Amino acid sequence: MSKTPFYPPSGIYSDSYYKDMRILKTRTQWILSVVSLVFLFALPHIPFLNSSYFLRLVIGAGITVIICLGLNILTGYCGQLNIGQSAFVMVGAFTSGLLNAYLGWPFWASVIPAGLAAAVVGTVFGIPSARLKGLYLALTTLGAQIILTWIALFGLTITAAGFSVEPVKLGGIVFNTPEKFYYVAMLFTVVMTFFAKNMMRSKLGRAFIAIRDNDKAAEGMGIDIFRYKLIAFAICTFYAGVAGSLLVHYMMWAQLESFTLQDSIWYVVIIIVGGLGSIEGTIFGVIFITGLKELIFVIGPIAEEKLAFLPIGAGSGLLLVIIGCMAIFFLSFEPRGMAHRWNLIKAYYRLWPFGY
Amino acid sequence: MKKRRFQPGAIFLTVAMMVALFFPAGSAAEPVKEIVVGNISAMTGPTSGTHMMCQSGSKDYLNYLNESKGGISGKTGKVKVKYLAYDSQYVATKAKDGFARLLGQGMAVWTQCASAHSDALITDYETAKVPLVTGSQGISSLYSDWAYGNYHSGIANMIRTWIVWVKSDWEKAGKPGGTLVLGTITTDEPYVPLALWDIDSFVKEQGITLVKETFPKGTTDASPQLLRLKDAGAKQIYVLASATGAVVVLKSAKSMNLNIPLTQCAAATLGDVIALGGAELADGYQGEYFFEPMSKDPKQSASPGLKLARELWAKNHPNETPNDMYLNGMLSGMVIAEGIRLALDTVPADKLTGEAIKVNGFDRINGFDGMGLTKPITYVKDDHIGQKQVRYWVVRKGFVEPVSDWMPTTTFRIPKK
Repeated sequence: MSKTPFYPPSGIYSDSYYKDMRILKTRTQWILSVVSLVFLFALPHIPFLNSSYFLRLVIGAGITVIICLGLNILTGYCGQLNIGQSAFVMVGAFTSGLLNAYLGWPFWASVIPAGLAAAVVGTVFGIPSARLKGLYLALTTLGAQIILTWIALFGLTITAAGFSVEPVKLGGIVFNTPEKFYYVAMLFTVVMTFFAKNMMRSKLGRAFIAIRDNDKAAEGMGIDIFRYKLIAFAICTFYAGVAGSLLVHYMMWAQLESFTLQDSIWYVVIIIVGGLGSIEGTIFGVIFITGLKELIFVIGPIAEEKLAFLPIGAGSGLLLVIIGCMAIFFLSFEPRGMAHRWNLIKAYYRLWPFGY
Repeated sequence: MKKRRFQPGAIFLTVAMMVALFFPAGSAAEPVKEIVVGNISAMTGPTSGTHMMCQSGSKDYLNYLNESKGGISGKTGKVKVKYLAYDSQYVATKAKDGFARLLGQGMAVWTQCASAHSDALITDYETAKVPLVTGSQGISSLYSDWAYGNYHSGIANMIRTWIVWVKSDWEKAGKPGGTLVLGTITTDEPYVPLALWDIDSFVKEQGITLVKETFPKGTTDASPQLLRLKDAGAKQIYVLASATGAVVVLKSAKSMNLNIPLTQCAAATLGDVIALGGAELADGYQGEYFFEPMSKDPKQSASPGLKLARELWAKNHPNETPNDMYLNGMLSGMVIAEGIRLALDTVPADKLTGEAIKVNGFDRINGFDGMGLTKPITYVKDDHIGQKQVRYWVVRKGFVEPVSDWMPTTTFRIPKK
């Protein structure tokens, strides 16, 4: 590692391809990364932050990060719109849940099959991407949401009724509390974020970006567009499947009503707000929307109590209004999402005090 | 130096402080202990209308006890209820978050009207020993020792009880036609397969024929399905749909002059159908209630429970239309209050935990009818279903009137996985 100073380096200079490709380029970034990992590890033991409720929020955010990372790889990097992500989460959830409930497979044995099952189904629904683009492709993924929900509703009555799933176990440890499951969720979140970040710097990631930016030019460069689109669908839905598996073992319960079209829309809003085509943006989007939801959970009921003219539920309904406005705001004024702001801040920091 | 003068005021103050310190005020001056009742409902999202009505019912009733009676009194003392609500958005993970938050705020009892929440949170409330009083039990929670229902004995019993009712009337009429053919028209909503769970075995057992038709949620015409049921010779048709779906069925039936009686399942009460479709369209439409409905003609006699519900509604929601689900929630509030009252007979207020309320309160509820609002509720070991009687009503001139007496429901339980 080069002797990069701790203070703002006024730009980052790489004198080899290897250095240019590094994720962590400065000592500051290394220190911040290590501190972040230590903080994540110690979180359940930090006073005021270790409440069961807060940990549940973090677990929920971690699982959502995995779902949205997959979606961002497909939509943000590869340019293929998917508005049925929740259905693929459901495929992973039910695969893992049923393997556990009927065959007794533990989480560790069923998580990869869950991801693979979702990936297979996702690839099938990705086939129309060979001929369709944009809104038309989005409609096929909407079809996936409807078809898969219908199958879960009428194909297997147990998935409509709901069933119990065992918690994650490792040796003698049972991860059945937020304090314990937190570590499982964070392990998967960190590892899958790392994979996603690396994948997007590889040949595969660059092919995705080329397809997104101009598919004809990409084809001209020798990229097999159909193959890469299907790979993008498979990766996206694999992430969804793994998240689904985590979700049911965390909930210890699997039921159809947990995977709705509204959830799929939320995931799209999250990556728009965070930043399409950005791994960091996905994390920002999840944190922002989770925080916003919590804020409105507090403000909504108070507003309803103080403002007597509001009908029942109107205060809490603010959530949907504000998040809808937020999506419009970001699309209108910051279409590159929070990740773009973050990049501007980083650039300003690196170049300070020279503003050119 | 100026000599200090004797200060009687200072001495009085000192004595008063010492008295206050060593001889604390008697129970009359003590602040009344608060019991936290949590509610986890979908305040937003597609089911929010129903859930908010249910939440308002329990909240208004418990607030009414706080305001007019000073709380809930038992032989050992008195408590006030602190009612805290959390918006689950009908998402199970959010419901779990809400449970953790309310638990952190000291929740001793919780309530809601969503079977999905009853089931998804089963591990949480059993582990935390926080009893649930619900207007909607799920398949697993019907078996839970910590869940107490007040509404109906599981969704699968709605159509079964209806079949028993119609068959009974048909037998009384001398079995016209020789064979009883009934029909169901259902939407493709998630609860429908549960309502029809193993219905074919029951139909066979009853010796009748059941013809099933489905129409997609969101469609605006159910005529083809109704026509097929008519051609199959259905004597009566059971509608398993939300109020919106029911209105579609009624409009389709009207357009084809169908004169087969239609009955609405309890998933959407008749009041909703009247509000949505209008009194004229809903006229003659039948439905089942487990309590005295809010949609009953106000000029008719009402139980003290219904009178109170109407007063609370008028006071708290003056500009809104009442809904029958309000009574469902109010019944939950009444059961909670009764449980706390019974527990206070044996446990002092400061020892009142969730477990204490369960063991000394809910488990002892016997013949409780919510001021005449419903039929007696008794909880016994392995059976926390609550009341097991239902009455059928019909819409006439915008209100509902009874078409049957109270009758026992079937008691089928979907096997727990």
